[in-house]
Amino acid sequence: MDQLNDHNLMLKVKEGEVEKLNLLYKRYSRRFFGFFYGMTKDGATSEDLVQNVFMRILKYKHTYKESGDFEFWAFQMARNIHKDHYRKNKRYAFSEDMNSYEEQLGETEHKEQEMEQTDELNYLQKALDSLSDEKRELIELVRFQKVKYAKVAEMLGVTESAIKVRVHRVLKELRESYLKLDV
Amino acid sequence: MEKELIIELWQEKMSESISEEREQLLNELLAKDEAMSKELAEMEQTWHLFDQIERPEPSAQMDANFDELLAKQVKSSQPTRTVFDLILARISSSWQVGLATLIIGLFAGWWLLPSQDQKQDIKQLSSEIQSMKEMMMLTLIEQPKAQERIRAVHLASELADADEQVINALITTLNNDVNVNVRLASLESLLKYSDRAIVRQALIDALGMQDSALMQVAIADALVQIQEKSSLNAMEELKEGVENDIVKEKLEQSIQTLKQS
Repeated sequence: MDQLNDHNLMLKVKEGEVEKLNLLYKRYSRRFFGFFYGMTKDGATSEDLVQNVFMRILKYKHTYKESGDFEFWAFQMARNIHKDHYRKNKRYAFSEDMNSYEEQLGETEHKEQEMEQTDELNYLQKALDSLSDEKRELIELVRFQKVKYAKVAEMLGVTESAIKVRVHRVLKELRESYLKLDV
Repeated sequence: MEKELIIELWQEKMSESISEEREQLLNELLAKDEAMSKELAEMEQTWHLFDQIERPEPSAQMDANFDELLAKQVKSSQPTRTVFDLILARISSSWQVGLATLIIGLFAGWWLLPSQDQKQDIKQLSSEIQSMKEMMMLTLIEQPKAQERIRAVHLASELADADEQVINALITTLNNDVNVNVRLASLESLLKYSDRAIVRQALIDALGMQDSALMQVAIADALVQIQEKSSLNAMEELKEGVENDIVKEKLEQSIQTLKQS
């Protein structure tokens, strides 16, 4: 089974067994989609960006190192792809894009979900959307995609302790912000 | 400094990566700092609230696009036609040359029968493919879409020899999946491994666990098919408890068939 861990699969892809990427796709595509959706609030764009990640993995497979860590490497790629996308598109029109995609998901289903959502949850979502890109990315990686602190710290070029303190500050900011909305 | 340590420890606790010793240290520190303890209790509430934020699933098109991308890549990574291929194509256009080539090929094949090493490689390769299929099956079976889970179940029946983990996944799916079609598919796949005691017992147990009449009838059929006489008691029990006449009748038939066999 060890041969099937992410790292060994990626080494096989690097050696030319590109079909092995299929398994990595199964393991990571939903996480990448979640990450991009959290950042862009646009499902169709997020799907395109997931495709870009895997295209880039194929293009740069030769740069993957024997001592590499696939999760770190691929999420770093996903972050760069999001940055490029953001640079090209400057700003997102959050509400509009989100509505159109959710309509595709099934209007009634979504409305029912919405009714069930507590106000608190809605406020938290709003507070999350109003965070700066850097802060949202941090929460997205650590909290939603459960990337280990050490890896996120390496991605951002700071220490693990610093990341933990930073996450704490953002959480505090979020809490204060959604409690204000709740008033 | 102590505050930062508390924050670090708390983050480790939230991300479920804290050791027992460090959790104890966190509790000790928090016991001494009431304000921080209160603040973190509130933050914990926020942390857990994130779990309730719902995100949409990607469309099937995303997977289709990836499959297309990978297929293209696999095709382009295969070697292109060489001069040798062209000569071969020319040779094969004449039947006499073709026949001669076939005979030479047979001799060559006989001489070049796979050596022990090659056989070893092939064996290793097929075991790798088997592991890959197993892993793929175990990943797919947890997908939210019923269609994906059915794919997983079919994949399981394609395995030359499923290991315990796969069998257990199939049994869990048979008993717990919300979708009847997925449960039916897992029953079908499990039948392939009906020579194993664990599977036979699981089928007997499953009889009493299903609410759907369709599943009750299908499992009864399966038990008759594998001639599992030890399921008679379970069938009698279900027959007594079940209200649906068709199921009752079906169970009676199955009991009679098993008794006569």
